[in-house]
Amino acid sequence: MSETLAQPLSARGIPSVQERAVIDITDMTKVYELGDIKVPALRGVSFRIAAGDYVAIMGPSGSGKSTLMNIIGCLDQPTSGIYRLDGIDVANLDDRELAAIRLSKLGFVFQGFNLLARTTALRNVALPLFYAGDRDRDKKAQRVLEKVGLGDRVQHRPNELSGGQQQRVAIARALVNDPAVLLADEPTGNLDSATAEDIMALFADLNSEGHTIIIVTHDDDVASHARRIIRLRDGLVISDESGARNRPL
Amino acid sequence: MTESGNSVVHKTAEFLRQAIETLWNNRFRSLLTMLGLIIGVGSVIAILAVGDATNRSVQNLLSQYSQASSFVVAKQTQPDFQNAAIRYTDARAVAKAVPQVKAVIPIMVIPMTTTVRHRTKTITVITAGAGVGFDASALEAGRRFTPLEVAAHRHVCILSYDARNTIFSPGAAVTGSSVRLNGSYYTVVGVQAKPLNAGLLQSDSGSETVTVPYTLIPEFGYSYVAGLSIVSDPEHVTQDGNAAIDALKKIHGQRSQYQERDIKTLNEGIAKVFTVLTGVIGVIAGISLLVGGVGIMNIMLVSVTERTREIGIRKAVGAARTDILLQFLSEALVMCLAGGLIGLCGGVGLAELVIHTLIIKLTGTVVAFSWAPIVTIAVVFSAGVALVFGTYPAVRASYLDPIECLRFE
Repeated sequence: MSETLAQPLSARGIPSVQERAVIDITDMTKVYELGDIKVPALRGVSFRIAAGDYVAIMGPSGSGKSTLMNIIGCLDQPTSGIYRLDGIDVANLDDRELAAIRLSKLGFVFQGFNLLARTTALRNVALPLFYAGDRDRDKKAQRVLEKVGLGDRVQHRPNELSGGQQQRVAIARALVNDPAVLLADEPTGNLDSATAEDIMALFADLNSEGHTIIIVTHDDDVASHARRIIRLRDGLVISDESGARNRPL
Repeated sequence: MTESGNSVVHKTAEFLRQAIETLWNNRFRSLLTMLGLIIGVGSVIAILAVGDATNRSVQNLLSQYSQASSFVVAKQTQPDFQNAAIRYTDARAVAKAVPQVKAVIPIMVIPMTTTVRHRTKTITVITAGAGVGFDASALEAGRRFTPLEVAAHRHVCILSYDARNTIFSPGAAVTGSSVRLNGSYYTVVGVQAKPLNAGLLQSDSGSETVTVPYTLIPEFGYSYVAGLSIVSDPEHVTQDGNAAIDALKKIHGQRSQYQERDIKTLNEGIAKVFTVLTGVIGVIAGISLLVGGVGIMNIMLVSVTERTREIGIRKAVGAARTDILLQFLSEALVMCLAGGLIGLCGGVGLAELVIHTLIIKLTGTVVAFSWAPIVTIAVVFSAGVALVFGTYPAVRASYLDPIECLRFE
């Protein structure tokens, strides 16, 4: 969390982009128990995502992609299998440790923006730094807001911002802790197509700067921005295509 | 270690700041939520302050009577009142029987006539010994009787403030002057200071009094007296009064009944009344704070439900359970302290009103209540309510599942 935010990964002394897996999932299952009925949501999923990659996870509703995203985001725990995030086995962590992981390793971007109403853009972005106990948080939040193009909107509240601007604030909040993975759940779902393009362009910029991005979506247009597409159906990976990206970096 | 300690302090301060902001943003609801607590704390503070001021006023009025003497009289209703009546000569016998007392002074209250500007006026004459006796009123001028004056049956007197103004023209120096009572002249040696205004508690009688040495009682023609003033020390005053009663019973027979009164016992009685009163107020306070606390808990539970999504967002960006717990506890604490403060101000205002309109009429003097215990009570009660009734909603908030929260509409 720091000065390195805008620098390419190589400058941070991290080994080659391709070698190092930020996310390493092996034989992951998740079974929900509704009374006596067991509902399997994930039935043995395995994949690795390298640092600096840009991955779209796709699938129809009920495919298990939300469950997978919750587990990747450390909001939920798998029933079985191994999940390593940035080298840490998160499967057996308790609530406090999971919160610490979310704080330091993950940045969330949601479909509905999920900003705190009545709270300025600056304070929204500074929120993770507050929980991290960072006293420089306003300065850092200001810098990240400038980076996403909202340097002149820091004192605005969410209801004074457009949908695209709100999503930029959310992205700034996700970035402010310099996370290992940026996790976006239908980030353009509530936006018109022109604004959606702007947001996707911002993701592309961030990826080119070295940020690892995972987008969960059912929109092919959105997924087409990614370098790799993992498709799920009925709790299983049915395809995993690299080089899907049809736009220049 | 210091670094993390600093950040905990910093974080706590920030939680409190955020809580103030949140409550200010919802100020109308916050005020309604606090209402029960405000009324509870306010009424308790008002009652305590009025009680405290009244107690102090009464103590103040009693301060003109000596803590070191008791007054022994024969009971009004008893088998043989004639036989039990205390005689002038009993004083010496009692003093001999109870050697630890400093003095036993026969007290007599006698109406006598004097002439004021060619008109006959009746004035109350009270007997006293040397030095400070039962009436410890301060002197405005002159002195009290000397042992010699008492022993030698001297015709000396001390005037009450009102008596001095009735008999002499205001402003004139009167010590050394003479006053004529029932035809005899008495030299004025002292004048009492203006007594405290006792308001409705004040009795009309006896404001114009003249005090003379008790040794003049036989000269006035009396062999029976109203009672005996037993002068001892404050610690043993009640004990010595009772010892005097035993001595009187030996003289007059065991069937004779006496009672002793002293300011110390009176004070203890008053203190007992105030203790009971405080206990009753405590119970009422407990009930009102319970009601206020339940109101706060109720609204906080609603608030937690309403802010489910916010809790989800906070947890998703990395808030731990303790962060959520502290956030809601801070809000409860800030709300209760604000409520307590408002209640304190309201209670003090109400108390001042009551003291200045009612207590001043009752006791004549206004004595301020003491602030320290009242502020302490307000703060401790409010913080206590916050912790007792804010913890459950805060714990519930902290245990919410972030996924469920983010799905919550």
